[in-house]
Amino acid sequence: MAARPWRGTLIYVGAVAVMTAAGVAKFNGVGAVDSAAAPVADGATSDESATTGPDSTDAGSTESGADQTGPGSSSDGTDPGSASTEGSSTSDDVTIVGSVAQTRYGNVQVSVTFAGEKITDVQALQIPDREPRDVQISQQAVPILTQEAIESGSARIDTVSGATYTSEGYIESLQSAIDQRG
Amino acid sequence: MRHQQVVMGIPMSVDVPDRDDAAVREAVTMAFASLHAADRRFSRFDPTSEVSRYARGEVLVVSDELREVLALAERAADESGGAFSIRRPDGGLDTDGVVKGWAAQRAADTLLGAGVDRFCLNAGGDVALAGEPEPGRPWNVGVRHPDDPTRVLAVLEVRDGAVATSGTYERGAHIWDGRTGGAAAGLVAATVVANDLLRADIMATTVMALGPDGVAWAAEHGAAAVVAVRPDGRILNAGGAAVPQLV
Repeated sequence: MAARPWRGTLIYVGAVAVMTAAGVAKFNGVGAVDSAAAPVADGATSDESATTGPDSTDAGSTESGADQTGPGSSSDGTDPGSASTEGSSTSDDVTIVGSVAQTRYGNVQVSVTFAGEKITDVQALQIPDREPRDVQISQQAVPILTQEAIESGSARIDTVSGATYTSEGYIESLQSAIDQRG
Repeated sequence: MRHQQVVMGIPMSVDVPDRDDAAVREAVTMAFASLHAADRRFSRFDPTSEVSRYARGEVLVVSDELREVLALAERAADESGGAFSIRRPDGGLDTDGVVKGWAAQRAADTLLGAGVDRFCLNAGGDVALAGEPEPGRPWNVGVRHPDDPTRVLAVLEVRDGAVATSGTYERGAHIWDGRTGGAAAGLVAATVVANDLLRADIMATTVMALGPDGVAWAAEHGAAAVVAVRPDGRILNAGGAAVPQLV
């Protein structure tokens, strides 16, 4: 396929608040309606993706989201200093207390416990206390690939979403190249 | 296995990782058969299709499929305050805003029903995803750059879910705002991630019809993420999709 024409595209790790919220929703069964949708967050865009903890290769949007709740969330938090590491029950466990992420639905703060690269626990320390809105919200978090992942070539684009209505449009598209890659 | 076929004039593809057995091939054949059947029933370009005959008032007994599509369109119109509409400003019927996603989701359901639990179905840029392409990794779905078909704006990580995009870059401003009858010009592209392609596709069209206000609307109506691009290149987003501005 074409030699990574998309490579120069800037893609951030983003929406720290949302991913935090998704972790809260999944692990605690509450706040799903509010938090999973918490859109975003101009201010939540993190430029600290390099500080992300364990790799998000392990499955589950919750994990990949929660990966970034720690250090990354300080970028929009009111208290950048609050992320901390505490020892816990076993020597392998590390608990990261995320800083407070301000979302349009309220403040969100979680702690995430890692055993090696596995997330073993997520606790909500603060969640928005607004009434859930009367809408159905997907609980699926959608992390954006990190710029590092893309530049390192570890990110592979499997498919492309676009407004393709004609064969002509398809032929010139990246999806066409992906289909030919087989 | 990977299989591609032209349906509705567009090459559509199914990617089933790590499997190439008879059961998968049969399931993929059935999935494409359902796409072709939808095309026959809903083609605006075929005067003998059910939707064409319905538009001319010639259908006495509406099929379950057409009834379902019309009901979905009505629901979308209600939810969007009339911005989404299958009535063109000239009064004609245009179910395309519903049918592609509906048909592709039905094809995806066919695969799931046949026990295919890991696949990527791409129907003209509307994408349904199941499982993972390889253990521990989500599907990486690029969002096409509105100005360049070979570049992506963002890459979304999705396991079970759907990504649909609506935009003006290929067919021009073909989406209208049902409230005003005018061409929807507030956005050049809108991508929506949702649990299924039916919802994702309708919402992507609706976001285009609503314009910039549609981004927050979609987030409140079940979208997991929204990425929209304004004519000046500014990117609007909601949900998990935080994308930097185009430079």
